[in-house]
Amino acid sequence: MEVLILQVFVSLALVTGSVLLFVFTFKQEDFDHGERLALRPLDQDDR
Amino acid sequence: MLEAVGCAHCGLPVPRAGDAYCCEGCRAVHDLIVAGDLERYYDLRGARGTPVVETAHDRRDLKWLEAIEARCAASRGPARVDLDVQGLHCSACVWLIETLFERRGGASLAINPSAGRAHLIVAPPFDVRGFVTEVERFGYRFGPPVARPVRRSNALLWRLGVCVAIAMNTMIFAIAIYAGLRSGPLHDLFETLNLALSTVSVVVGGGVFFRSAWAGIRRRVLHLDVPIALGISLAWAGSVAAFFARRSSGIFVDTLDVFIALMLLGRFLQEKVLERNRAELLENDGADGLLARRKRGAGVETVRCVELEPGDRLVVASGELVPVDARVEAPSSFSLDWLSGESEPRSFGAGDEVPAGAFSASPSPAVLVAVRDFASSGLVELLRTPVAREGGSSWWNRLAKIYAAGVLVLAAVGFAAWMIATRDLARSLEVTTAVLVVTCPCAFGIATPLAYDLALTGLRRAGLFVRTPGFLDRAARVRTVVFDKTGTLTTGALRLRDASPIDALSADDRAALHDLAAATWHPKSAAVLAALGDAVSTSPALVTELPGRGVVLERGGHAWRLGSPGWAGPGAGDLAFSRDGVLLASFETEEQLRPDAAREVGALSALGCEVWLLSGDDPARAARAAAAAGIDPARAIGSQSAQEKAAFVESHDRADLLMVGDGINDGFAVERATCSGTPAIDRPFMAARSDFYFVTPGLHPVRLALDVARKVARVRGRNLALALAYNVLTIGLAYAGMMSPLLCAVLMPASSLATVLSTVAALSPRSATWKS
Repeated sequence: MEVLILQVFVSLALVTGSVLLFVFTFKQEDFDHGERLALRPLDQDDR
Repeated sequence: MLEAVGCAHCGLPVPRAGDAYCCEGCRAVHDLIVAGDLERYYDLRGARGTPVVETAHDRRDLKWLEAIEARCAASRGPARVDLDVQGLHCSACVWLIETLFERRGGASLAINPSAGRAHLIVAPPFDVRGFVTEVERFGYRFGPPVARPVRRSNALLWRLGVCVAIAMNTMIFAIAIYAGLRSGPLHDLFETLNLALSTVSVVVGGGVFFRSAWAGIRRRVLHLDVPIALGISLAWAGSVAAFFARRSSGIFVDTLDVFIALMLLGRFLQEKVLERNRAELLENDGADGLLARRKRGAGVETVRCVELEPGDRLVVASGELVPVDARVEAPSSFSLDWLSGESEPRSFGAGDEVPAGAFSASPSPAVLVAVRDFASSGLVELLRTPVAREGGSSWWNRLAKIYAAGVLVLAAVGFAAWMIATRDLARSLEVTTAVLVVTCPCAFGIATPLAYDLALTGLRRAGLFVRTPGFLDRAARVRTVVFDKTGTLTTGALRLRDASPIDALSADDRAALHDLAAATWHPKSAAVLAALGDAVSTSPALVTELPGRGVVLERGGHAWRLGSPGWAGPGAGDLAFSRDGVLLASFETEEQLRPDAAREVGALSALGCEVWLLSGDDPARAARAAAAAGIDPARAIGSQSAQEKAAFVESHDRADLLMVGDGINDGFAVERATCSGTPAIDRPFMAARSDFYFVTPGLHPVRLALDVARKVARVRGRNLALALAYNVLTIGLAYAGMMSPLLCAVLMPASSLATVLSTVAALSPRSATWKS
């Protein structure tokens, strides 16, 4: 039982972390220029 | 529904079978891309480019760049330059602009297509003007950065992210409880966590609906957010009460969290496409394309309004706009309709000041003296102010009211019936909460925004950009379509029917003809310039414009005239060119219909629409254009002033009229029509007053928009039927006391999924003309 409770809190911590990361990317305005970010993986071929 | 792929650049249908391009703009940009070794643009766009808009005002004024250039020159190190960009669609656009920037040695460039903005870091000797000019050749447009309102979808996005994460996690805990975890410390922990997470979801996500519902109540408007907000708050309060009363059967927080996430998703979809469409055009005032006639010596010259100065004497013909605040020289009458809403023209005596934005209502041209320059005149604000259009259809508002009232009545009836029957307050509240949770307006809350999103995205792909929220509702009822002629049904450009007389001219005469044609903005001059081509050497010349007659050039003891036959020379066509009174050439000009105008007019008629043509041009020309486009000559009306066009719209609009126009004289009509659209993206004051703008050379997207709107209305009706069936079933179960949290958690998402799948199946953009 204690392991389950531990797992619950670990998973909640992970969710909180992912929500914080999401808010961080949102503040960086990454969702506004997704088109540009989509090109990043191709940059190496060009330059 | 969409035509086969045609143009080698954008994929839009070509005017004639065998043509490689749909228009000259696409040909030019395709050549530039190939010549610049930029073909990867096509790879990134999936082989199709963006249609290139050929505007009537291609001579761009880049005066606004001077301040930016001065700042860059004054900066010792790298300088940051922010520019608004028009025409960004996708990764390929970003790649193309970034590549051109890098080739010029720019330090850093970040492009934000959602906001339509580019952030450049440049260091001397980077040539900002050269870069702007080069990119604009590909069909994009730059402008100074204008502060934009905060985008609502941004605020919704982070709320959506948080609420989706919470919904998924509460579902995980709830599944454990539904699967048999009925008691014990783990059960208590899961219920506590669920309630805590749900409280966060209600605060973060529910806040959007609480605010909107409260605003509606304050304005005494019962809209859909009222039952949503009430459902959220009562379901949460009921669940809290059941939690403290230790009654698991009354806890609906998992369903509530899914509900909030779905409603937010619907709201986000609603905002996203419209915001993006609005950001796609430059938010300038369109002053670039506004021209005025200024007296100079004995003649008149055509200048941009931004060049006008106090003291300039202006000639304003009947029906034309007064561009700056000015005093009249002789008694005249002007319409202040646009400024004050007065429909009757007002008389002004000599010396009276006429405000910018008035339209001349005198039969003969009025002469005015400017008292302020363009920037200080009220017209700038007038052009920048977008017109708020009705949000949605009355049918939709009525339905939302009935739904909101119905849900409240059903919940109250359930509560009263259970109280009378059982005298058990807790159980009665459980039933009431269940009714409020299961009567989730999924069909409206998520399926309808999704339907709009799919429809608007499909229209974007076809080159039509909707700007107002209620357009699709109103467009479904359109049965009358009114086109302006010049620039809307036609391309706005004229061409010479026969350009061979130019070949017979001497080099001197050709140079004079070029100087005359280049000195005025008149479409006939543009037709002559186009026929002359670039290979004409010219010298500085004094050209004078005489309104209603033409232009005259005096050089080396000779006087060349280009203008109306009779004044310029005894020509047979509608344009004569002479030297010292001797006719050198005469031309006949003709308007060019948009490539698919006749086909689209036929298709609109087949859709059951009555098609009209309203033009400020003379009735004979209007009738000719109507005949060529297949419009009944009885429905072609010429010599219409801005007020007459607006009056026509008011008398013929039975909440079913679409007005498509491009000029400032269509402004009133466009504002008053139930639906309106414009191809004039180089004059943002028109786009700001219209429901949509389109960027294609043809009229196909207009018909497509009406077709799609009707399809959306059908899908909405079907979703409504599904919602009705679902609600009858679930309310019955709730009244019978059989609606458990588990059943609720299954039925509510199932109904959402059913309406979403039905919507996607009906409106999925399987085929597209060009990528957006």
